[in-house]
Amino acid sequence: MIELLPICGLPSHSAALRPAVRAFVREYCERVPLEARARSWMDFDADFSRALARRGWVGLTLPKQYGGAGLDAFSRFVVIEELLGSSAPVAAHWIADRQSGPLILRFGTEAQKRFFLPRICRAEAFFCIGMSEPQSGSDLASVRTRATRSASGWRLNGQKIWTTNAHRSHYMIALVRTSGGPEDRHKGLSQLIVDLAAPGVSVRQIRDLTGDAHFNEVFFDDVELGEDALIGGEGAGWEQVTAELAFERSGPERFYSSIALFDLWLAYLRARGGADTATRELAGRVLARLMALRAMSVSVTAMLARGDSPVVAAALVKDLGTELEQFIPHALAESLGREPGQPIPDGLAQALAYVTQICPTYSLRGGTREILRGVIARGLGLR
Amino acid sequence: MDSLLHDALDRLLAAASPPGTVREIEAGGTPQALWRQIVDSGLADAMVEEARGGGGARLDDAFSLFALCGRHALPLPLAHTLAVRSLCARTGVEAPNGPIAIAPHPVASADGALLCRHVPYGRVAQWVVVYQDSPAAGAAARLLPVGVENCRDTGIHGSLQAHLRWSAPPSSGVVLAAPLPWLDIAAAITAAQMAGAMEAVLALTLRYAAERSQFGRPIGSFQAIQQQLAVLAELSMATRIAAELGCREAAPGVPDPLLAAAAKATAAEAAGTVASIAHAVHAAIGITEEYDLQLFTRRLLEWRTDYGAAGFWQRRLGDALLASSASSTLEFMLPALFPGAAPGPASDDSQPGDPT
Repeated sequence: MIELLPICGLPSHSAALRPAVRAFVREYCERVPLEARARSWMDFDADFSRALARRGWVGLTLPKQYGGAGLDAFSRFVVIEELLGSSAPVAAHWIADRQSGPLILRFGTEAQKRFFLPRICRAEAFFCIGMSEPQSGSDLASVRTRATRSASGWRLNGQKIWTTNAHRSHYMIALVRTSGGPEDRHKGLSQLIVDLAAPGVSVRQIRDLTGDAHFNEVFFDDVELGEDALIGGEGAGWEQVTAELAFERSGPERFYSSIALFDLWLAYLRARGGADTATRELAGRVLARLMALRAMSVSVTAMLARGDSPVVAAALVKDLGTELEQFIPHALAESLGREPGQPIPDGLAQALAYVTQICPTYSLRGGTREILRGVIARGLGLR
Repeated sequence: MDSLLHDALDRLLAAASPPGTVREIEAGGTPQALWRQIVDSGLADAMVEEARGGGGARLDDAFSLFALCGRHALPLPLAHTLAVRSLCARTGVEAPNGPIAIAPHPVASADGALLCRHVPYGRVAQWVVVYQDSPAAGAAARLLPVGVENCRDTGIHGSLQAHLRWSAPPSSGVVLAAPLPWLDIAAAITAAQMAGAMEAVLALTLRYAAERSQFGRPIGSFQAIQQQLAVLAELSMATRIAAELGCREAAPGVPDPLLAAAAKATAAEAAGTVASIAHAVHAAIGITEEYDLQLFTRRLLEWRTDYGAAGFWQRRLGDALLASSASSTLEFMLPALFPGAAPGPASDDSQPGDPT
């Protein structure tokens, strides 16, 4: 059976962080209206990330000797919950903070830690994730991008795709094949840190249906990388990626992505007054589901803090959470459209359109719904 | 402490209330022998303070006991009785012997009769808490004896519900003067029972998916089945954690009203899907009388609407959210649903149960 999710609290040292983070975020929110924050953690603002870093809230789980705050997973939960709860623009440092930093800390050499971690904590080194390829989506083990030994280290050839913010990042941690062929599946894969400014790397943006361009194609054409580009063990890429995904799947970013839209809708209802029965129920329905998800997410955070790798529980939180994130725009559209004569404020209508259009990605990024349910089924002993 | 009580009740119910006994009582058999075993075990006073000779379980601890009543499809209102006996003891009232039900929404009719329709466990209870519904202030209530003359069958197959009717306002019974939020209490209990029943449904369905073979392999090895079972597990886990939060004590023996609302809303919203998936995976065998699944899915679907379906409780939550002036849902949710998590005095490390 899968792990039970016991209710647990955030310890006081982490809860004590909340007021300062909230005050910091509120200052930003006073300048940027809610409708401009509908992109949630997809919104990229390097200045915001650096200001956050100056407060010590980027890379805060990394040890002090590498520039971090030496705090635990609970503390990070509080900080990112405050950021996401107000839909602050965290995309610039998000990947480095969530997974690249912890990955380098866990698997990196001393030199790699000394080089990268302080830069991450100062929000000077932004990272992207090089997993998907044109022929490797859910079947991640089939990646074809290949690094071969060269005189000075590694030579990289291949292509990544759907790489969020590659065009604005400094480094990619790429899952590549370093030995064998696609038939070897999980064997022969390694992770490399790719300097995106290196000769032979080219990045092409992909515009999406909302008009944004955060996705990219990234091409590697005889890119020469040093010996120290390898992160972790040669051939250990699959195990490292799996551990990374547990961090990626259970956090508040899996249920707060549509919260700016929901808050805009609440503000509209409050200003109008006199919500009907169905509307009141819808508000409560979202709130009840948020409560359960948050409790589950804190529970998974406790497992991560203990050093466990709760792969199944994390998949469970992500699947339920993204379902809520996708439920919100569709339910709100239905609710707002129930009275066609009632004017909808522009900001609310724009946020609704944006979230409705982009929300299919919520259950794609970080593992599709179907893959996650397969992970859960494995946890249930079915496969 | 709570895990000792939990283990004791789990063992007792496994031995004293197996599916065969559940079926006999549902078919009209007397529950007296089963109730006697529960009373003899001392567990009926599990929530009475230790100073008064009880087990000292707080509502938070009692969650797992309520869930066990659902896990074993216990055909008696033990969970309700635990709560009522502890509230009686706290308010200095001598609780009567026998299983106690809680009647939702009593109605006084024009001819002076008192009618409580569809009372959960009305058929097997000896006493019932009847209160006037005024959730804001809580309500004074009375414990009325239930005799055959008060009890009318609902016509629902296998259900332990009854319509209860007193032709004149009864003068007998025990007065519970202290105003208590009976509906919240019953909702929290029901959500916990539903969490337990969902665990039973999940366990049965997983076992069946592993045992049943078609096309030469266990049906659980097919992705179409695996995807559904994953959803069943998700809803069961979400219900469990919400129901556990729903038993957070706001005052001795009384749940936090918004947490109880979220618990019942979550359980009720999940119940239909959970039952549907379980039956779909089981196919025809699942709807037979002799297979145990029906003991749990019938309960789940009945409990879904007892004391208010999802919409009723969602409305309470929605009203609280809409009435607040918080600048974000998070700002509302933390103090309202995770007391102790909001900015302000730091919470205490030493409270492992703190849901912040």
